[in-house]
Amino acid sequence: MSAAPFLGLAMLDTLLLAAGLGVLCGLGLARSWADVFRHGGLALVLGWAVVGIAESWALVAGASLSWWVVASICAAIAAAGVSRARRIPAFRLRKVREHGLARWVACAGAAIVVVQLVALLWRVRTQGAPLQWDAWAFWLPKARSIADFGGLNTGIGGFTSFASPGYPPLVPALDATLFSFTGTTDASPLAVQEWLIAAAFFAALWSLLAVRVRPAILWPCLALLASLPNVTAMLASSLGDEPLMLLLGLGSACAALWLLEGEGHFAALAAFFLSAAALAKNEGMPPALVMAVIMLVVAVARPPRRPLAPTLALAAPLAALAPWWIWMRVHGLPPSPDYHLSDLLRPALLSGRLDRLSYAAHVLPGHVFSRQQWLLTMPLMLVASLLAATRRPALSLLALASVGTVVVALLVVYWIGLRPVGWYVLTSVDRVIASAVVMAGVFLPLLLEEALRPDQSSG
Amino acid sequence: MEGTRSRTRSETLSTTRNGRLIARAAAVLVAVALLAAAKQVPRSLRTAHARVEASEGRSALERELAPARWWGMNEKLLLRAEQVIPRDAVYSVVVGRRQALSGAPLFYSYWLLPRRRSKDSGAAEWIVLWGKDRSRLGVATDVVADLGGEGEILRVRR
Repeated sequence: MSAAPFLGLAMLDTLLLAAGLGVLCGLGLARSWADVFRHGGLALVLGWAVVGIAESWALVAGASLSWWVVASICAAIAAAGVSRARRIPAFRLRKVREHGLARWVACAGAAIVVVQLVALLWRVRTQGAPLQWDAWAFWLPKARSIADFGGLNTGIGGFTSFASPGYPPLVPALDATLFSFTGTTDASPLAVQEWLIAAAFFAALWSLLAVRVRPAILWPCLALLASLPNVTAMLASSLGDEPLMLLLGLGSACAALWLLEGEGHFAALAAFFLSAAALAKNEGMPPALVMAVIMLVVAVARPPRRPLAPTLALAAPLAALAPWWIWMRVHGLPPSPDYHLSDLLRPALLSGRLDRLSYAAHVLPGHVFSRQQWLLTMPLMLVASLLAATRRPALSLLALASVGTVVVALLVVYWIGLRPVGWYVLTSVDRVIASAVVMAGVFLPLLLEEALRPDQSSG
Repeated sequence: MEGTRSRTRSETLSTTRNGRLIARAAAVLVAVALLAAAKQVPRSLRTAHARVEASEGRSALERELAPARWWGMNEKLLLRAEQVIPRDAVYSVVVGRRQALSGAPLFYSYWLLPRRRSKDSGAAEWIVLWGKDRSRLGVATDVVADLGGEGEILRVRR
């Protein structure tokens, strides 16, 4: 393949980075070269999320995603962030440091993360179009239809003609943007972009969690996350579940940091990531709302009572998705052909489908706790939640409720689903559970740090 | 008074002991996480190597067609359809039961964009036929490309 698509990719990522740095600047988090260097990964993945939200709205408003539209969106976001910098004071995130032998534990963990990312890049470099059914059956076709037809086309062969037409447009919008910049609808450059976002995800987790978690705990946990067989298989898969798990993972980190630090900056970041998660896939909304509700409850219950930031974090995913809901209603699209949420209000129907619930409840634990796919992430997170519960009950509650919501929501969907439950579970469970496991992997270092911390204050 | 003080002291001691136990347990969990990750490294490298070996040496086009090959679709027919069907055309994909299991109609929707796939062959200008009898289509067609037993590309007569 020629170098031209990769030049386009570099141009796009520069714009996403600028947008992300603009937002961080507006929040007071990036005001020096040292901040830019530390938060480079966070800036890229934040720019990707925020631009994805803006692009989804632009599509709903009837815009196309040509390169100049995307460049204008990035420039507008960056300019809005920088213009706020005069009014918002700088807020430098501290970094917990490590001394002595524990540094070597951190180094070992960091080395594993690097090896895993290099192995992934090695694979991605020669990878062509993704093999996963859903990727080529509707995620990539939707993106191509946006690029080829200049937006959300509702005609034959258009955006709404593919499977799951009710899924929000963030993921296809971001992929279509890449097609605009690379000048080709080939899937190969997309795999490289997905690798870059995955690498930025790990860098972002480091720059965020280092505020609270010492390196000897943080890096082994990041190493575990980077080594999960099903997570590495899903990276560069072009499935919607891939950005969903990354966005929910970052949203979890920011929500937890807000609980622990009480700084509105983290609530704002959580609002951005959770909004993008809600726009990535329908499955993003329930954990986003649960996290924001827990933040709000804690803000109201714990002095000093400052519920404004969590209220905005709760409203943000709903507001982000509202234009898409309106667009679907205007165009007469059903929310999901696989299930009707209104069935939850029909007790007779629910009791008639108890066999589906019992089947799903029977097989789900085997998938959630599969060592082959997720190593020991879930058991470790559960034990860590218990260990941290006495010191940080709110954090343990946030971790258990967010992860549990994904599992419970999945059970409910299998219960009310219209497709044969065995087939439904087989074709979806390991993809959808990935978000829960990644969130568990993100909460793990925070829970362990709080369990190890001598501080006795609760929060 | 003395009793209260000794109770407070024993509670403090017990809290400290619990705290130490919790801290030790947390340290063990960190070690388990690191070991689990380290144990996974060789497997990850082997998987990456196998994937690289499977795709290295293939042309860019072959890599883009990887899903078609993986799911057992007819790549020749796919490429021929791309050559023959105009970019602004509406087409339909009619396949047999076995071919449908490979997901062929869905892959055509992706591969042949910006051509638009209609699920109704009566509304299509072109038809890609694979594993199905032409006489059963119910629409008059001309054969534009015949790949023997591997499929046909038909233009619908208007």
